[in-house]
Amino acid sequence: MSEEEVSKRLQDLFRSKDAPELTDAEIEAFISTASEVPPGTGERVRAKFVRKVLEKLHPQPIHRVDEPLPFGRWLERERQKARLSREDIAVAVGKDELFIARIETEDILPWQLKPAEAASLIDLFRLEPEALKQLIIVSYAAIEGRKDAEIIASRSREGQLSKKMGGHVKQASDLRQAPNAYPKELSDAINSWLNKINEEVRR
Amino acid sequence: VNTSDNTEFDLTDPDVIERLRAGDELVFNSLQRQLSQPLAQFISKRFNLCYQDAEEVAADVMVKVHEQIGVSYDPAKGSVKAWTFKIAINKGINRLEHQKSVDKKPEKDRWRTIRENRFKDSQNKYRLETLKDVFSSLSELDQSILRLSEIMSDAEIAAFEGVRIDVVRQHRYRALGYIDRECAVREKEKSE
Repeated sequence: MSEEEVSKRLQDLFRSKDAPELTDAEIEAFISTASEVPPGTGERVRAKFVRKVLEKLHPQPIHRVDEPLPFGRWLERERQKARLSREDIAVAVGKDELFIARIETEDILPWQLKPAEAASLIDLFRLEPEALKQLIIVSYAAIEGRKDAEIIASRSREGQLSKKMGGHVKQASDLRQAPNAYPKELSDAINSWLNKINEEVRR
Repeated sequence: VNTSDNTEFDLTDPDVIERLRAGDELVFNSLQRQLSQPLAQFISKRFNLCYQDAEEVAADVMVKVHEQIGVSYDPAKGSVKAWTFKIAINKGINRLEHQKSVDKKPEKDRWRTIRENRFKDSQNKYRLETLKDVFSSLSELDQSILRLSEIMSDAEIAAFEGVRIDVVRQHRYRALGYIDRECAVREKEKSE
């Protein structure tokens, strides 16, 4: 056998289930030298990982949401179900972790997102347009309910109470509003936003 | 809003490993940051895959680690990195097998092909077993050089082993020669 043939057979061995295991020291040495990779490789692996985990959670695209929640809360719940972190989602959609946190807590309202940003999220979470609309209706109802609660709060105790709600109060208020959400007429601006997202996803 | 601070955890620390097995997100994120890129590079080199495919396999590895770390990983049997790389090897093998089955063209004489393939498989299996046996009879240094030759340059291996580059090349040359001779002797003995 030539040296090439022996190397080829060794290659077969290394690519088989009988491959001799690398030692810890060898793995460490390899990791410390692993640098000749195309830029963004690590991020792409992580993004693919997140997509695969969410695909396992929802093998089929979601056409209907059984438990109506505001959009951000629903994203948070699904992320937690999949045991993913905000950082994971952030890497998958090319944003930072704080951005995801603000969407989940609805500091950023869904319709304040750019259509491309929302599209990448709903694509990642496998939401179909009708399911997205369901969530947006709940978000809309929650925001309206929150506005009413803020007006009442500001009138009570002669303004001693802060008009702004804390995160947990806001969450509780949103969840209380959620089951009462009914197919309200969404504003034209939100409907147009939804249409833009659908176009973006189709693209 | 609390966000993580990208602290890298020491994946050899038993406390960190316990947190990882208990599903701590911060530690798992750190593992991903530390291993995603090297895994893709390892898979690409070891299985001769393009980076796009290697990234796909590396993501599958991460999914498996995410699912199984609290279930199948036993720290007594080795480090978490070694366990992860072992999963990478298995996933890489599956990928190659899948690729082979996709590339296979429909055969005219199917049964004949199956018989021939079975014969080839048994021959290959014997050859692999012999080779594995011969490989394990090499010195530690020779084994290490050959294992690393698949994934690292000679200069990197030399730095790791603490020897000169020409020593690495010399050892590999001799080891390959030894494997060649020893396999030939054993295969001849079997055929006789």
